Amino acid sequence: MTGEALPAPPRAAAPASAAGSAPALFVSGRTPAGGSPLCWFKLGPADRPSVGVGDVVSVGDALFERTRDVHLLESSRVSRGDLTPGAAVDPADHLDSAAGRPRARLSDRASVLFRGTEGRLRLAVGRAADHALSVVSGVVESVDGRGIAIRAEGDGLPGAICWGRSVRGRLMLGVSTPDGDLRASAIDVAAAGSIVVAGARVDIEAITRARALGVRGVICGGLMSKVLRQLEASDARQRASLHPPPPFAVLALDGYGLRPIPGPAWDALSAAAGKEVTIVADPPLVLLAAGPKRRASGDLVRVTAGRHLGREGRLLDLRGQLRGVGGVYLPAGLVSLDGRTPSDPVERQTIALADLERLD
Amino acid sequence: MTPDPLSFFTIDHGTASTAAALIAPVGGRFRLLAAATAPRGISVEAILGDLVGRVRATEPTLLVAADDWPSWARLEVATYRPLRVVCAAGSEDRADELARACRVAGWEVAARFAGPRVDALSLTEACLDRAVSVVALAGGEPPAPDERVGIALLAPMVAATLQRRPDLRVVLSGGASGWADPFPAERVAHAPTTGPELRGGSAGAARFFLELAARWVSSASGVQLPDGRQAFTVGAASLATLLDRAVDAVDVGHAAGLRAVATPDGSVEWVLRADAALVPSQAMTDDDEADTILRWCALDAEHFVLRDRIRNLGLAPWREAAGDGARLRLAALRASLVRLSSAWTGGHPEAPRERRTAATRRRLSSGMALSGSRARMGRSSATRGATAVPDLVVASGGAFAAVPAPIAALALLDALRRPGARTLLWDHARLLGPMGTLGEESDRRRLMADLLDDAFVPLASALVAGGLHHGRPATLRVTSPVGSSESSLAAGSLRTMDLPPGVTARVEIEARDPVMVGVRARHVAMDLTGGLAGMLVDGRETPLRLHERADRRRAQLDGWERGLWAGLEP
Repeated sequence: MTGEALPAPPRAAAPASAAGSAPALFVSGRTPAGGSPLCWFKLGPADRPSVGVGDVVSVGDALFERTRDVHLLESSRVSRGDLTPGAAVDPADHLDSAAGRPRARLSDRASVLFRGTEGRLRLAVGRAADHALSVVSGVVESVDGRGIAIRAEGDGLPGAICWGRSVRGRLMLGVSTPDGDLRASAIDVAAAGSIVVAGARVDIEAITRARALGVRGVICGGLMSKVLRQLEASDARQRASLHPPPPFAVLALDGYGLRPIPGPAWDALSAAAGKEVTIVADPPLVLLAAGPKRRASGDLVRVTAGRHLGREGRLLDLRGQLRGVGGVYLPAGLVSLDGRTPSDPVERQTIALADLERLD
Repeated sequence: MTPDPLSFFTIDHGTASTAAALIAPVGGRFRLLAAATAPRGISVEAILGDLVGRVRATEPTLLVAADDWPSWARLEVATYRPLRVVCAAGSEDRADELARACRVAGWEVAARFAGPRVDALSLTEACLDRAVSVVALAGGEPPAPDERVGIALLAPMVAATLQRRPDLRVVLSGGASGWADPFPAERVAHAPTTGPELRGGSAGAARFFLELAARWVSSASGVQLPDGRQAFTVGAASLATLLDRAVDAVDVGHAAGLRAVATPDGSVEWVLRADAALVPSQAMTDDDEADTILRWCALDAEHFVLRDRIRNLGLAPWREAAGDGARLRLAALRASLVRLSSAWTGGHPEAPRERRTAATRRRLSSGMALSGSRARMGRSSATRGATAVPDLVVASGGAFAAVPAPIAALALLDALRRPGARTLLWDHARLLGPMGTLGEESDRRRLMADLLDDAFVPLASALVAGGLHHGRPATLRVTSPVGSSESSLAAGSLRTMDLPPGVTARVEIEARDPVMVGVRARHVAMDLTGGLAGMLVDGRETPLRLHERADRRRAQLDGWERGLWAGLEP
């Protein structure tokens, strides 16, 4: 080829030059707390929404009527055509007590699943269990088969993993530092009804005790998948009992295993201590009252892997390629790391850019 | 007026990382001047500006009108997260075919239903799941009588879920198109009939699903960039045509794994699997799936700790790329390639490639020096045996971005097992996809011909010898400008031999029993060209069998890896 022009690909609009810009531009940013997140609340096939699009809901308002033991029944008569899928119907209007046909109780709730080709409706029928109450305040954006979506008031602090259902409670710091470890013995009845911040990790003993004492939720930096499995097994046993367990949630902000709570998140949680907060399961986040954001300069970074995990500092400069253990070459930067305690001296380290995240 | 500098960028927007390269004419041909890969989320403009800055710092006069780089042309592709689909069909066989076609196209099958005995409640719940974006309903062309009954029952169920979800779409495949009445026309796509094919091609249901997903994702996101996976298959086909040899190209990323095998005539078969991602979504929640990855891990640590680390790799794949993280990455890469290989063959071991005609064999028997001489190998070696022709394997994707060359070669060798010789190349700047977006085949070939040496880094040459018997090693003779050696090649052994990139060695194997090296013979000779990891000679079995006991398995893996890791204590 002799430098002939190839067919021109589409040209981008001229952007601002990035050459010679700040080194922190080459570090991926941590998702900051976002205002008014969209929170989803899942509906079962026979659940009945109590809100409509555009409604303003407050904490404690009924969102939907929850049903349990849902099963499928076929309407005993051909019905008129204005009933759409998802519409609530009275089981008594559709279900005869013919011999051999499973019957619904008068108190049962039914909704249309679909209309068969012969014109008969198939109904999802379940026992009315309770009303699911809203744990957020906001405006209902959509109500459909996927669930109820509410544009919530407040700032959402995104998490990585969430187990359980959305819960609300008073925020309580169970540890004094973001890399602390919450012991089971440190949880007492004073924590009942609250959401406890547990530090870098939490074990199954602490979670079990917290649940037994009426704690609504736990927020931690990292969560071991072993704990998740044990929690799932414990919950399955409780669900099988006559009385369903109260809602409970565990939210890990940074990933699996032992991971300190990121600095900005710790600051936000510390500021919210004693106030009502919500753990939202979908998407996983902590909903805090809207407040002033932490103003971070562009070069403030946090180490996300390796022996300096969790430490924060300033990215001073780019350092080219770092040859890592194992023969891996990675773009790196020179970071001035803050001490683990205020009395520790500042330490300069060359760290792979991929193991950093920008805090702004 | 500034003259058009002819310099341009290629950008591959992955789901976890962005790869960018700067290409410019130098000395009468296009050269790859700089390339970088960064975690997704980092400003593309910052990456491009850095590429330009690096080139200017090294050779200030190389780029014409470098200040105008923001307006330079860009060849861009993007990949996307897999769509989740609920598959329903009138019969069990059709449901299997539909699910397979969806999986081959990189879709995640959330649930599968076959009529007429379908649990309507389960189907409704599956379709209403917010993570599901498509329902596919399939029938034969024309539908068999039992399928008709099944589809007639399923169609109203699926239509009802569409009424409850304004964002849900439906694909009607084959004979199911006859039941389109209850569905809103604007949310329906009509697909070809599914078949028993394991792979996608240039037509068929899998191809349709691949193109449909790209179309839907780009219309939903508003980003109108060419699909990186389709472009990759086109690029692989052009490379095969250019080199006049079969190309086996794999692309492993955060969201999916793609394998495309192209032949010199331009035809290409491919498999795109969501479960062949570096850490598939199932492994994030299912311990057994995570353990499938950890079977390939030589690290001796608590199992639950390793599971957590694998899942962290799924959450943030760019983190912790050195040390133990690199070994975990190797395990995930091996497992991903094994899944890809298994999907390719339908779970059976890979068969040796059929050798080509004698004429083609003679033409290709010059080894794998991409731009080297094409000296014909003498027939002396064939008097008692045969001449083997190396295959070409090209590795690409974000999963290879932070893996040392010898380790990448080992992962390819462990997973894509097939007796024979092959040259392993690394598309380090992820150019194959962007080059595949050029509309004209001649343009693609011209650009590839210019960039061949820059774009594809030789990882290693590998020789996998099948049919070796324990206690009866073959004799291995290697003659190269670096030196000559004669040694034994034992069953179960894996050896690394020094052979620098660009240096060609004559390799001969002589055995009492016939060995399988692409051809079955007692005496086989071939030319192999070195790479960053030299030359790997592999007498292990095909497919690899790992010990069931964890401690022995770790020792087995460690034995294979030892010597390939630089500065890492086993």
